[in-house]
Amino acid sequence: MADDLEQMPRWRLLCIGLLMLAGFLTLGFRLHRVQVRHSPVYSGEQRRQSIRRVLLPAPRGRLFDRHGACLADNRPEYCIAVYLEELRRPGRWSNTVDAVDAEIDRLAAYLGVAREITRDDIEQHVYKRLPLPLLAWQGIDARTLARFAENPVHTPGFDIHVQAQRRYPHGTLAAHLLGYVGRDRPVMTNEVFHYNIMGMRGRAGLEQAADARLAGTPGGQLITVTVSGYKHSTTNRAAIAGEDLHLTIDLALQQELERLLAGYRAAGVVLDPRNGDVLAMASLPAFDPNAMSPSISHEAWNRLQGDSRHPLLNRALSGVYPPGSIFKPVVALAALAHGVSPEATFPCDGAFVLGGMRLRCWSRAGHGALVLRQAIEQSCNPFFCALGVSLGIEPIRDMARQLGLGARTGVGIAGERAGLVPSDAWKRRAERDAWRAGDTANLSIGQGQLLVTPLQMAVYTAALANGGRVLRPRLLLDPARPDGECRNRLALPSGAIETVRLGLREVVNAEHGTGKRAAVPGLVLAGKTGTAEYGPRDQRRKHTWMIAFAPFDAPRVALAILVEDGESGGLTVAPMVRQLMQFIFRLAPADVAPERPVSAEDTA
Amino acid sequence: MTRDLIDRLPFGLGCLRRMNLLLLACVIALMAIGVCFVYSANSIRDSLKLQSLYLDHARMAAAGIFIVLGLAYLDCRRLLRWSWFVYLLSLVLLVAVLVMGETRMGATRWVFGFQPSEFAKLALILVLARLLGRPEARRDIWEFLLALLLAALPVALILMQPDLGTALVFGPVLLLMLFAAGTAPRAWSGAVAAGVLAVALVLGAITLQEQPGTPAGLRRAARQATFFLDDYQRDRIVDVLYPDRDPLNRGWNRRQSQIAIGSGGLWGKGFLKGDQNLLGYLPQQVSANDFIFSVLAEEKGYVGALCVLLLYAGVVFSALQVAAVSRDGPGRLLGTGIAALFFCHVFINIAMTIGLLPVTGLPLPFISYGRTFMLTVIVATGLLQSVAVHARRTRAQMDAP
Repeated sequence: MADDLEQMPRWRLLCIGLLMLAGFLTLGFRLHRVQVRHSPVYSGEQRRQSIRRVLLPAPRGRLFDRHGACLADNRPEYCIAVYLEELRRPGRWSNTVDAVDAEIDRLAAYLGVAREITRDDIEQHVYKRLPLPLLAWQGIDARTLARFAENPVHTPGFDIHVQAQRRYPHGTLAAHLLGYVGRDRPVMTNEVFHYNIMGMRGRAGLEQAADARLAGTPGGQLITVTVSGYKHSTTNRAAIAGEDLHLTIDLALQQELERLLAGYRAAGVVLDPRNGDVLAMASLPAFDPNAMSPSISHEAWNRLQGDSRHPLLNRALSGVYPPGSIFKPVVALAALAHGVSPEATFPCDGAFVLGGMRLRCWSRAGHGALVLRQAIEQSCNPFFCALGVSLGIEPIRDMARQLGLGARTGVGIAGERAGLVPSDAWKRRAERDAWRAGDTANLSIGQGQLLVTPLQMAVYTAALANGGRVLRPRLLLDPARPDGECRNRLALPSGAIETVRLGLREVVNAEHGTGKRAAVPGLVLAGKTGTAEYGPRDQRRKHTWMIAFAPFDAPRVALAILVEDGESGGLTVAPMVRQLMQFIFRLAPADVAPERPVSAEDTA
Repeated sequence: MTRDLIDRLPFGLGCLRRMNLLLLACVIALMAIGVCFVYSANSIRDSLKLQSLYLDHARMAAAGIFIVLGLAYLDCRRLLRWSWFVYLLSLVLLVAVLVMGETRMGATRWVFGFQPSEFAKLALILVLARLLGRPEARRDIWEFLLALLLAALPVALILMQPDLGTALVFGPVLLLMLFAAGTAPRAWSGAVAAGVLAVALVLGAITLQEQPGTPAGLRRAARQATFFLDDYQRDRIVDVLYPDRDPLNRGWNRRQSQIAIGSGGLWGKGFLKGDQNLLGYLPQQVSANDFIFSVLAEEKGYVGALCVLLLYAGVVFSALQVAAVSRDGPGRLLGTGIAALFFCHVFINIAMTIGLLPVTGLPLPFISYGRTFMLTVIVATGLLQSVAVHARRTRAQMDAP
C-alpha cells in the first residue's frame, strides 16, 4: 500500500508548509506595522473620530467694594435640558427629532408653560450639537422647577441643568463703572474644541477691562461619541474659577453720591489724593446691568440707545465738557511756574476788552485790582484773561498737559476719552485759522474749544490736594502700592501750589467766596466752582462744575462733580459737595480710607 | 502503564490516544477565545438575543469537542466512501439555496438556516481526496480536468448567490490539493500561471481605470475587462489599492477595522474596552463574524493577535503533519486540503482586517460566530483526527507481520 505514496512525496507538503509559513509571517509583520509601528497614528485617528472636546466656562470672579460688600456675583439659573441620547430613535434622524418634539410638548402641557424652542431648533441641535444637552427651557421659575421635580411620571432624557447668570445686587449702582456681561463663548486657548458652552464675557466697564482675570480658565469636557454622534460617556477637566476682585469703590459713598446726583444728567468722581483710589464714580442717568445679562432684547437695547438722556454713556470718563472756571487754577499754576509773582496784580473793571471782543466779569462793577489768590477766590474773569494773554498759550497748554488734560488718565476702562487742550497747530488743522490772543483769553477762563472729562478734573484736583503728584486713578485695590502710581510730578517754584491752594480754600471759606455753599462747619475744605457756557449764542446753556478736596491740611478726598445744564457751579453743585463732605467726614469718616501718617507731600 | 490502561478501554476507544494533541489543544483554545470575543463583540447590541450569541457559540464549541472525538473514532476511509454522496448532496443544497434560499444583506446564502456554501468546501475536499488519492489514480491531464470540473460546479453555484469571497477559497484549496497529489504538473503550473495572470490583469485593469492620466478609450476598455466584477467588488479592490480615497464611504469598514487594530497597540485596550466596537465604528452586523479579529486585536493588542496567529499556525501545521504521517493517499490529501482551507480563511480574513486584501465576508475558523461554518471546521478537525488516528493504525498493521 505504501507505493501509492511514492507519487506524493513529502517535499510537496514541505513546499506547502513553507508557503503557509510565509503567509503567517506576512500577517505577523503587517500586524506589527499596524499595531506597533503605526499605532500612534491609528490611536490618534480613533480619538479624533470619537472624541469631542467641549469648552466649559469657568465660574466668573465676583466684584467687591473696598470693604468686601458684593457688587457683582453669580446666581444659578435653572434650565430643563434634554439628553438626546436617551430619546434616540432608530432609523432616520427625523424620527429622533419627532420623538424629542413630542416629549417637549408633553412636558410643556404638564408644566403649564409655553414652549421655548421650535422643532427647527431641535433639528439644528441634532445636526450641530448632538452630544450636548439641549436646553428646552432656560431660566425657569421656582414654581415650574418644583413642578418638574415632583413629576410623578418619570421623564427619561429630561433633567435639570444649572447655568451661572451674572447678578448685580445693587441694580443700577455704579452701573457704568461695573459694566455688564453678555453671553459669549469662553476665550479660546490653543487647544482645539468642537463645541463651546456659552459663558459670560465682559462687554463694558470693569467687567470688560478685567475680563481676563474674572473669566478664569475654562474647563474641558471630553465626550466620547458613538458612530451616530450620540454621547457615550464624558470625562471632565475642572475649570479654574475666575479671580474675585476688590474694587477701590466705597459702596456707601457711591450710594450717597448717586443719591445726590439723582434726577440730573451728571457725573461725579471721588478720589483718594494720596494714592489715586477711586472711592466713587457715578454717571447718571444709569441703566440696570442685570437687564443686559444673559442678553438684552432688541427693543430694550434700542430704547437705551435712542434715549436722549444717553443712559449708556459713562459721563465720568467718556463725557467731555468745557471746564469753565475750574480751569483757572491751571492758569494760575502756569503763571507761577513761568515766574509771575504771586503778588502781581491785574485790574478788573467788570469786563475784559481785547480788540473787538469783550468778556464780562460776573461782577458788573468789577473787582478792582486783585492779586492771584483773590482772583481765584472771586473767580475773576478779566484777571485771568489778562494773565493768560500776558502769558501766551504755550505755558498754559504745557501746564494743562502736565496735569493730565488732553490725555487719557489710564484708568483702564474702554471708552475713556482724552478731551482736548487746543493749540495753534490744532486750530490751524481743525479750523484753518491761526491762534489769536482772543482764543488764549477764552482758554484762560476754561471756555472755547477746551474739553475735559470729570475724571480728569478729579485727578487734577487730587494733584492740587497732594502737592503736585498727578496720579493714575485706579479701580482695583492694590495693597502692594500704597502710594499709587505717580504719572507726573509738577515742577513748580516753592510755594506756588500753596498759593493756589490758599486761593481754593478762600473760595469755600471766605465770606464772599464763590463756593461758600459748600462750606462744612468743622471741616476746612478747598474747592473751585465752575460754570461753562456752551451752545449757540441765542440759547446758551451751562454745564456746572465743582472740584474740591478736604481736609485742607492733609487731604483724604478729592472730587469733581459735573451737572449738565445746571444753574451755576456755586448754586447747583456746591450744596452737593457740602452734603457729600458731611457724609464723608461726619457720618463715617473712618470708612473713607485708612489713616496714614502725614507724609512730606501732604504738607508741601 | 497509563498507555496500557488506555489501550484496554472498551470498544477500541484507546485508539483516540493517537490523535494529534497539538491540533486538539489549539482548536479548543481558539474556540474558547471565540466564545470570549463573540461575547465582547456583541455585548453592545440592543437585543438580549444578540447579546447571548456567545452562549450559542459556547454550545457549538462544547458539542464540537464531542463531534471531533466521534469522528476521530470512526475510520476516515470508511467516511471517504461516502464522499461522492456528500458532494452530490452539497450540490443539491446549493441549488436549493438558489431556488428557495432566504436573503440576508443582499445575498442569498441560507437555506433552512444553513449555509451550504461552507459545507460545499468540505465536500469538495472529501471528493478530491477520494479521487486524487486513490491508489490507481493516473495523475494525468484528464484527472486534472475532472478535478477542475468538480470544483467548478459548486463555484458556479456559489457565484450565482452571489458570494465571490467564498468562491475564491475553492481555487487555492484545489490547487494545493492538486499540487500535493502531483497531478499533471505541467497543467498545474499552467493553471497557477493563469491564476496569477488573471489577478495581475484585474489589478492592472483597475489601476488603469483609476489612474488620472489614462486616456478615455483605454479606460473604457479596462472597464470592460473587469465586467465580471460588481461595482461594490471593484470599489473594495480600489480601496485596497488607494486606501485614502474614500474613507467615509466605500473605505469605511476597512479603515475602521484598521483603526481598531492599530489603536489596540502592543497590549490592547483590555477585554470589553475596545472603543471602536463599543462606539459602533466597527460594522455591528458583522463584528462578531467577519470582523471579530478587529475586536480581538483592539482589545488584546499585538500580543493577543500574535497568540491567535500562533494558535492558527499550530492548527495549520498540525494538519500538514497529519497529512505527512498519513500512509495513504486520501488521508494525505484530506490533511492537505483541510490545512489549505483553514489557512485560506485565516489569511484572507486577517489580511482583510488590516487592509492587505479587499473586504470579503470570510469568517475566521473557530472564533467567528456562524453555525454552519463552525460545524464545517469542527467536522474538518474531526476528519483530520480520524486520519491521524487511523492512518497510523495502518502503519502499525503493516509493521506487525
